[in-house]
Amino acid sequence: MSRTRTGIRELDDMLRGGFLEGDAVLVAGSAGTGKTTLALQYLVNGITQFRERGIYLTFEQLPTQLYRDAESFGWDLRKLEDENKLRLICTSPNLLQETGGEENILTEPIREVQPQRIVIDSLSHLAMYTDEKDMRKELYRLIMLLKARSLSSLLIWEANQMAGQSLHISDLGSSFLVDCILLLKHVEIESSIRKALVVLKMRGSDHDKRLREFEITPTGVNVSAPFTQYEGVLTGSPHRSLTEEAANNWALAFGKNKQKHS
Amino acid sequence: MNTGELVARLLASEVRGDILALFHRNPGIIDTLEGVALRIGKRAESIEEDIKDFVDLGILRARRIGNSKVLSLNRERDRETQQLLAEHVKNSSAGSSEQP
Amino acid sequence: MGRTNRNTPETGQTGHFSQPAGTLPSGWRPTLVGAVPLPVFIGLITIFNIILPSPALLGAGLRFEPPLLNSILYTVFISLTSFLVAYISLKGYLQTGSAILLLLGSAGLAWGSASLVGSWLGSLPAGPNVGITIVNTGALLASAFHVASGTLTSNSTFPENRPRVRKSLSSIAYIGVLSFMAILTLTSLEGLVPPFFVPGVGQTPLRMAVLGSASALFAVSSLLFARLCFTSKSRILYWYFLGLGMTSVGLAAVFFGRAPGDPISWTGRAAQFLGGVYFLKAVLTTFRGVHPTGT
Repeated sequence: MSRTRTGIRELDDMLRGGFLEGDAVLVAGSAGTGKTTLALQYLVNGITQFRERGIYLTFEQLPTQLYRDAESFGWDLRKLEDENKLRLICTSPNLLQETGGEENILTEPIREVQPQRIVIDSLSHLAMYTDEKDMRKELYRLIMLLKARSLSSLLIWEANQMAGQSLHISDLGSSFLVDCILLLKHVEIESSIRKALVVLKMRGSDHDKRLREFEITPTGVNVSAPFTQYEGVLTGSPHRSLTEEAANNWALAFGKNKQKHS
Repeated sequence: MNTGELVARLLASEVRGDILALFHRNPGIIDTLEGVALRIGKRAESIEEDIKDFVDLGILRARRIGNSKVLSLNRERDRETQQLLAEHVKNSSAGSSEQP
Repeated sequence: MGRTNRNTPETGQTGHFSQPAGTLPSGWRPTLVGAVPLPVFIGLITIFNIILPSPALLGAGLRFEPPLLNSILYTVFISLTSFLVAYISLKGYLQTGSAILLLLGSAGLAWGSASLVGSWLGSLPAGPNVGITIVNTGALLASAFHVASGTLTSNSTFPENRPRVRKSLSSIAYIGVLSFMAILTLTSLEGLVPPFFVPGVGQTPLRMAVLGSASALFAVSSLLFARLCFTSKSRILYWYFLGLGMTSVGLAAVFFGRAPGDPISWTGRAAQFLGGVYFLKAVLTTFRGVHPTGT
């Protein structure tokens, strides 16, 4: 079974080697959770590590912002575009839904770049231009279009959640149409905001069920250890398990800083 | 049309400069007139003539996708235009420096 | 808005925070109840040492050594409690990376495994030497780890911040301790270790040296943790340093014992068992909330 690797080692481990080739992956998370960074890294790594070209389709963020953001991670998107390995397209969501005639918004870029990967940023913007009752049909049409072009797609969804509130899967609306769901979440731990990542669903493949911490480093997304010490991470306000809390008390007792909160 | 006339036409107004800058900095934009207007904070009717002129000059491409008419940058023409503009600026500076 | 984290203390009054679990509130003095057994044991050992006859004259009626009783008591009161200490210390180390906890856990593991293996091998037909060797050597190892841990509490230490390295180091430490105990057991069974106890003769100078050192080091570690306890006012440390003190007294009692199972021997064992209970008390205190309600 062919895999589309992200190039982020720990994430690929969670996915047991990567996404399944040609799958539609929903990356959901609230503002600032790192969805765009993850998506860019997915494309950049695809080009630089696996020789898979890509298209980034954005509705709201201008490409110039993406060029600037990518530069901070050392990714030269303009250079990749000049080499015809990447195309950043900025358009209006309603154009993506135009189906009359032979050509659609993606026809020309796909012909020119011949990509294997694509990012749609974001389905939330698409939903703004679509009647709720038609959303599922339009999303299905989009996913089928991408699959027909043999594209491994990352579909970004802006979940309207803040840390501390539970994520309602129903907010994702048509999450059942996609093959894989990656959830990015802010969690509050000891008065600081940290980021958690979990694979909620992956059709046709086993995957790591644990919530893992991740951070945005100067070189991109870095996924680290699971939140084994905490329970209720998905609520946004986790607490330590009983044993972990006891171990923390034990550690505090024998540590040199006598009281943690004074 | 000579370079000076081209420059004059391209930069005839602030709006034209905004449109050029938008597409030059974001060459991947493929959008309707309304979409382009939105991205520079204008209304479609206020930039329609300018867009038409850019299409006539070949800076922008207009085509149909479904029921919509979309605009995109003609990258080749954009490169040529950038070179012409750079040369024009260089020549203008050289010319002005010769002035007493 | 509910508490988001159990480790964040609840605010009672403005500006007032409840103490973390296991700390004594300011103004609260440690009760003497926990410390009373120490002088009692020391007194009993002294009295028995005065009144008991020499080993050669010690009657069989003064010896009480039912089969397996000692093994069961060691297992329950020392091994299991020490393993708990090893477990909670390991958890704490994996959270914080503090070397103090790694050494503490290694100590618990050494003492627990030595007591478990040694107490059951002490019932061998060949005599108690193998069991005594294992228990006493394990005690010395555990006491050394305790002293090292206690010493670090007064020095500047930098915790290990990398989770993977913490896992590796803790694996190495714990496997190392268990490997040492396994090798000690095998070599003792094979007779490759100089004897600690000769039936009919009694304990050897080697045993006295090992046991004496272990007892002394347990005492030193008890004092080190006592100092930290009274600085930090930690109830966890309170029970733990008392447990170390009991263990020290219990091991020292062996010096004055006439024979296995005599009153001094049982007094020393009782002290060690109570030490195990105190270790358990210290571990259980970590699971308690923040409401000090006495000992």
